[in-house]
Amino acid sequence: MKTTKNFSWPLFGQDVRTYRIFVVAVVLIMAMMSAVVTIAIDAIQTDLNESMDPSVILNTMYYKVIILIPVFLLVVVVANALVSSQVDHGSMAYILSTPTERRAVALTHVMFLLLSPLVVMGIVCGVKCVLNEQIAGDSDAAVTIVKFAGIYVLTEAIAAVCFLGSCLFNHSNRALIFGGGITVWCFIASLLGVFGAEELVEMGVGIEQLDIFNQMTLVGLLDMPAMETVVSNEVNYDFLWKLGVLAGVSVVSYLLGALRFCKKDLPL
Amino acid sequence: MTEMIELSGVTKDFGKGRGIYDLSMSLEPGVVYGFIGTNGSGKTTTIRNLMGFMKPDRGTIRIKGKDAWKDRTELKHYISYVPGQIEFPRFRTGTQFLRHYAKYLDIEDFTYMERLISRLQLDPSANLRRMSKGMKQKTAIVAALMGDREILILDEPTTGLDPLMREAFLKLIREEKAKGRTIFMSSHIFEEIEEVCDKAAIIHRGRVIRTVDMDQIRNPENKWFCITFNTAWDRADFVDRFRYDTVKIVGGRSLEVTLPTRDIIILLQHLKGYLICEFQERHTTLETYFKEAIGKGE
Repeated sequence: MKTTKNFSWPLFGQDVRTYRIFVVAVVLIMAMMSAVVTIAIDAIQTDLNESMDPSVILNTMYYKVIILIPVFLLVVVVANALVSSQVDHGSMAYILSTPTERRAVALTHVMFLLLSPLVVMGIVCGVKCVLNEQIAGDSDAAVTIVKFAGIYVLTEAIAAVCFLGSCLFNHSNRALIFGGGITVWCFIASLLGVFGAEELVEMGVGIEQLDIFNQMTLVGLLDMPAMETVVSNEVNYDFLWKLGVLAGVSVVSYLLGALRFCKKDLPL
Repeated sequence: MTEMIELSGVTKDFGKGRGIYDLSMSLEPGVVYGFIGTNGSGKTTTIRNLMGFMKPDRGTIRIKGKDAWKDRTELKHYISYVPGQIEFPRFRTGTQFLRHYAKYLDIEDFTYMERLISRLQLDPSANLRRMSKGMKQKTAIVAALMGDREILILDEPTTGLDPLMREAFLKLIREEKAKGRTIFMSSHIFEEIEEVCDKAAIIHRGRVIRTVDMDQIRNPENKWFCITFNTAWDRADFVDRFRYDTVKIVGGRSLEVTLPTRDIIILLQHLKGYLICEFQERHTTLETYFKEAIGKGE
């Protein structure tokens, strides 16, 4: 398989070979977390009315905090390693000293960043659906699939921002500070914002003022309550435009990153 | 287009006096061109511009008539490169790296690669990360030469090689030259530039301060001798009889004389009858040119 102007099969194969173990590890960790949380949710389901159901907290935490940690770690590390780290260490010279367009290098890495979280999400979503059915007796997978699709779009927004940082900076640590810093901020703000969520505030365990953090993070655009309405008679489509914003962040960041990489001086 | 590589007024300024300034050089096809300079003089920056990793602020670089920046990808079909800093992508062994690298170069026949591995006595099955500096350098040389391209751009290619392997590498360079390849090679080692190069440019503080035709060094028009006589009186007598403008008195009993190669026989005839303690030919080396050029602050 050869290299075209926009894609390099040898480079894609190199990415897969280098990070396959990391991806597998992330899938295993997320699958285990999913199993633990699903079992825990089922165990603490009580006869109390829904407004006092603590499994709501765990469910919210699962989708907005727990499941995000491994996949965010994956995209932050990989996005930095694919471009900035290779430029910093000089190994990029071996790719660019061959008839491989910079555009092909950038787009091949983008393709890897698009596909690897997709594989992770696809597998973990399948595992969650099976767990929901087997443990919680919930055979309706639609809501789970929509939620995981939303998390995938969010992950791509984060990955794209990290990729942009990786393309902007020739020094790996600066790229990591940029992409990793934004990711950590988004994560921490999300964690604080969980306790500002309406359902938690109504239960009496949340603090309304903390909801401000949901406006300050990309994770805040993941509208789980709206997504849960997809199987109801009154679907709240708000989640679609929010995912659209996240998709827009992805597209713009990937594009800017690739353009910058194609034009800049590389100290190889 | 007669020149294979042509730099014309190339400037890349990083500020604070770092960079390359108004560089102009041309390499005809089939020439081995050396590039000598102190640390930080601009050698690697020049090579980065040649390879299209950087774009010059001013000036043009043309390789085979094409622009080194705009046509950088197309030019890689004709260029093999050994980087100054050897850092391989993440592969477990040298073999894995070389075979994978071959895919980028569309190489399917590994005969020439195996021959290079044998010539350089490389064990490519070794762990890539645990290889010694010399082994990594050999791996990088194999990766570059196996592409069998018509232009070689080599940034200090013998760094880390032992003397035997250095000689093996220089032999490979001579063979590449015999094939008609154009080679641009930077180095700190004057002897190897003298051995294989046809021309050499001396770069200092970002500027080419002198270009030397190596034939002047290997086959100089003039020879330079240092002669020590048994007595000062002998020397004075000889100077009186051997009336040459280029005779220079040195120390108590010695003199230095520079004369055309064809006049050596005249010198030897004049020396007959004198008791000579020492008769030494001093070679004008590239190092001499280099130190002279740097010393003059050119």
